[in-house]
Amino acid sequence: MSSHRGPQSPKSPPASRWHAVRRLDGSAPLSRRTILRGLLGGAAIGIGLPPLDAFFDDHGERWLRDPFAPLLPRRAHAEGADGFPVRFGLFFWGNGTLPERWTPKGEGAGDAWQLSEQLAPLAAFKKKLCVVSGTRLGVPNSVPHFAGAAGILSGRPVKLSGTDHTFGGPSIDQIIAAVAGKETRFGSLELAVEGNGLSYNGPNSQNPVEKSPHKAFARLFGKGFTLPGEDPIPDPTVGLRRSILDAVATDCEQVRSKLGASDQLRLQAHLDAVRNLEKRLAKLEDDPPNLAACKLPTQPAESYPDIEGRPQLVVRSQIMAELAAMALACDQTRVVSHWLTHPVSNVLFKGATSGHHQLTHDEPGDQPEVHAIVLQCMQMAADYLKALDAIPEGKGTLLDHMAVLLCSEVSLGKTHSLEEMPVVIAGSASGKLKTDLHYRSKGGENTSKALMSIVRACGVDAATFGADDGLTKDGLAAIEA
Amino acid sequence: MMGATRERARWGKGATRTAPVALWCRRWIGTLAAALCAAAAGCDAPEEPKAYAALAPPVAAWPRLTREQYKAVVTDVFGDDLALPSQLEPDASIDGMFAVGAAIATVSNRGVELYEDGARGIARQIVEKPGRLGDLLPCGLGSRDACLQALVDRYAPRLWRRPASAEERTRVIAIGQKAGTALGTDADAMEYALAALLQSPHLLYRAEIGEPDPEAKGGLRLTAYELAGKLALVLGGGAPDAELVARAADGTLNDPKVLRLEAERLLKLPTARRAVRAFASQWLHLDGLDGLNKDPTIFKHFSTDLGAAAREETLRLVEWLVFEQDADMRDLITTRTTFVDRRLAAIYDVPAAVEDGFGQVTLPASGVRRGLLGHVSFLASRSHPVSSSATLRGVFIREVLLCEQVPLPPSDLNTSIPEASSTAPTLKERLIAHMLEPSCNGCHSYTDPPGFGLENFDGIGRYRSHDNGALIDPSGTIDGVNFKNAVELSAAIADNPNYRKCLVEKVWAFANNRRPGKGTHGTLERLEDRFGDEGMRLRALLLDVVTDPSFRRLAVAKAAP
Repeated sequence: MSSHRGPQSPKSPPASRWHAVRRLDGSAPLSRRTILRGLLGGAAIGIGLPPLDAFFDDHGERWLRDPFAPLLPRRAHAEGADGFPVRFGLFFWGNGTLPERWTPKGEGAGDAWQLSEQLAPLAAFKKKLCVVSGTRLGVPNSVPHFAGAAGILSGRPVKLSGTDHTFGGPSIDQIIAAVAGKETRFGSLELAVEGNGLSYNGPNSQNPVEKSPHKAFARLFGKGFTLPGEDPIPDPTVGLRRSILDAVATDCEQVRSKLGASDQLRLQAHLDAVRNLEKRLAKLEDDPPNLAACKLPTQPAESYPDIEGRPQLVVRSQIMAELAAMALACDQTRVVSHWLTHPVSNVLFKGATSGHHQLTHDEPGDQPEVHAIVLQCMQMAADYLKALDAIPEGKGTLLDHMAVLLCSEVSLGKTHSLEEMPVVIAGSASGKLKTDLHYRSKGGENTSKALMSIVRACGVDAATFGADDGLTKDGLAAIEA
Repeated sequence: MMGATRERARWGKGATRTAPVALWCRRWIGTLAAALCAAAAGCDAPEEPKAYAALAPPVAAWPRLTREQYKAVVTDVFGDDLALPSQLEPDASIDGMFAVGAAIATVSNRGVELYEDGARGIARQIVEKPGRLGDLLPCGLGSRDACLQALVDRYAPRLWRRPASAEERTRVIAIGQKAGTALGTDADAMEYALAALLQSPHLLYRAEIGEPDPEAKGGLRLTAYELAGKLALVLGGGAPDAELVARAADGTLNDPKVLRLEAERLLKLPTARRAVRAFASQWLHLDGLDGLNKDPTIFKHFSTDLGAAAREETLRLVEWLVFEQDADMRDLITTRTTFVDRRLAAIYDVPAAVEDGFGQVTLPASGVRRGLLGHVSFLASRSHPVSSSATLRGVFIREVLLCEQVPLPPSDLNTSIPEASSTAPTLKERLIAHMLEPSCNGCHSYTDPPGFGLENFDGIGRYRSHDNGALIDPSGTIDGVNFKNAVELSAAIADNPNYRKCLVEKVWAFANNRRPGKGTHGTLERLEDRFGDEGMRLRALLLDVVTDPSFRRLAVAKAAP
């Protein structure tokens, strides 16, 4: 078995309440898990377990990762006044909007603005929304749809190689996960309803999405998941698995040194991912976070087959939303992305006479069918926010401790326009972003600025967002609290 | 039988290589230039195949095994009754080819998790079935340590495609010992040692470290083990067998004569079919068929598993042409033979040959359905959910079958096509109206005409004589050759010199995990000439490609190890 690890890093002086569980040499406090393992291993540790209820705070209103949390140095990661960490969510749909029916009426905060026709499905959350309109992507529109996707999500021009294209750098979810994903069992979650998502670690390195709700459930809440308050069963195989990963990492390191520059980078990415899994396996040996809202969700069905050639988008999106919400509530991850559809998706929406992408180009006039599809997407966005807002956390909800970016890769699908990009931010990121606001950009500011604000609100101390024509150093001051 | 009526053009040295419309001018450089060039058929062809030369990718020499290759290596070594992981890191694709994408593919966080999970599942199954590890479990070599040592020595040469070094062996044995101690049994020790072998980058990637090449001063060639591993993947799609490992171990594989004999032997094994199917699947973009999506209210023959059946049809035809007929590959485009199950038979309106599964049928001579361009795998996937698409079909013909690059549409263009009207009721007429727009003409006059020849097949691939009540006119011109229907279109494509050239490029790219690029022009030309001389037979081409010096030489000279 692997060596026992102390639960956390350097310690400040203990509060008297937890004095009993300090190690006898005074070096570091023990976690409940460590104590259990010690007892099972037959070691004579002459101290008692704290009563289980001591793991919760008085009212379930404070973030209490474990009873020793008050002893620990403040996390580098962003957290609000009530101690809950700031989480990030991305809700993406393909093929854009009809900008004239998308942009809200009026500007400013509160009653000064009203939701537009296409944003109407989000009415229940108006007070938790910030709509950013009038921005444009700075990047060249070199590949229809994909340039917009790379532009909005990474702030960089698409990276081209002949007929193939990739992102020039990480997408926003991975930029945030690089900081916010360090402490959780999963660095980030990529859940898709349709398509393969657009979560990139960097060029040619895309994160595979989970499309099956059943498999997503098994990964998140199957073996390896422990409910708050439950005693995890010590599992000696976890240590052995880490030993294997350590050997794999050594193999990667030895191979890497023999390769050319581009292959070295690829092996480095592999190596980083191996080390990352090693660390995440170590989390299995920790106590589960004690979060009042964390409950085991209902297990989804094995499959949700298409009905008459039309995928069950609403049902699948809803189930994925609930899994994501509970994964966040249980602190299994702090970064989630939800890929409803993808750019150029030709999925048959309910009531549509043709595929979505084809309609955006072929439907004449005011494009009533495209409009109906955008409304369906926004209804599913509302369902998504509802799932997040249904989780009580402290005096508010999970959504209040999040920044959820709702966006698409173009504005008007028909012309692949990158002007008037659709950007909605839900949740205030624990008060760091303004809500109930319509910010209308004058003169078409770079959309990257809105994403810069989100990245910073989520606790990433980044100097810039994007690169080349998409680069920004500044966020949008008007939306920052 | 097949294609016997068609006169075969011979492709000797000096055959014309001129593309009918030069590639360089098709790149989007403004509507005027494109329109002018399209009008002036016969712009000079550039010397290099520009579609590739301009795009030579960064050469990487450490391709990741595709998902199919990973699974095949495991089943080749441990038995095909293993339940394999249903999810693995997705393959990267370049021009639709995973073998080429493999050279840029990385492994993500999720990918490592999937490989780890997969390896544990496989290792567990291996130790759970009595006898799978022979005399190693129960351990018949006296000690756990001896059995662990034998495990590494026995399996690394096939799993990793080279023996483990002393240090690597020690590392794996240590894991086995640790597991045996912690969990108690020899089976546990073996299971964790196997899981370590199965997650190693030495399995997940194909090695190209190389050694000094005595034939090319200053250059590097693959080591004998690396060559064996590459050969096994290209011609067998999986792990090297014992004989190939032996040729690597004694170093004789470096002898070109031995290499040829081994390649000939491998092409006779059943695993060669797996490799050819993998090639065909990537070349013809058959992987995407799983996501086939059609409006069933319009297409009564659609069901969610139609895509998989359509892929199987095309793969069976390729397999039959290559292994049963050793046929000219132009037959793939022109043959009346195909393999259908009952659903495909219904779409093609022919009697199914067998009750269950796939049976061989001959399409009626009176019809217009011929070869690949008559398959549902092509017709349905290159269509919209509710209608056919002459453009998507034309782009496939241009890019996949003829290796010509179609520029992307300008991103700010109004892409609507006119509504059906009394003057333009059919898709073809609507698209022709679209082509009158100067900004559209440059590309669509190039992509759509071959698609028009297939308008007799609807969005799922059913024959139709009328579109929207009007008679379809499937005639047209491709690269100066007139055709009056799909039959003649197929013949024109099969005889297009770019079809032959393109197939050689695709096979070379598949075998070498990279696109042809700078410095490979001469190689490709040489292979192409031989391919023509040998009657355009795929197995002969594969043999030529793997015995060509470009197969065993390293793409980029690195510092010698």
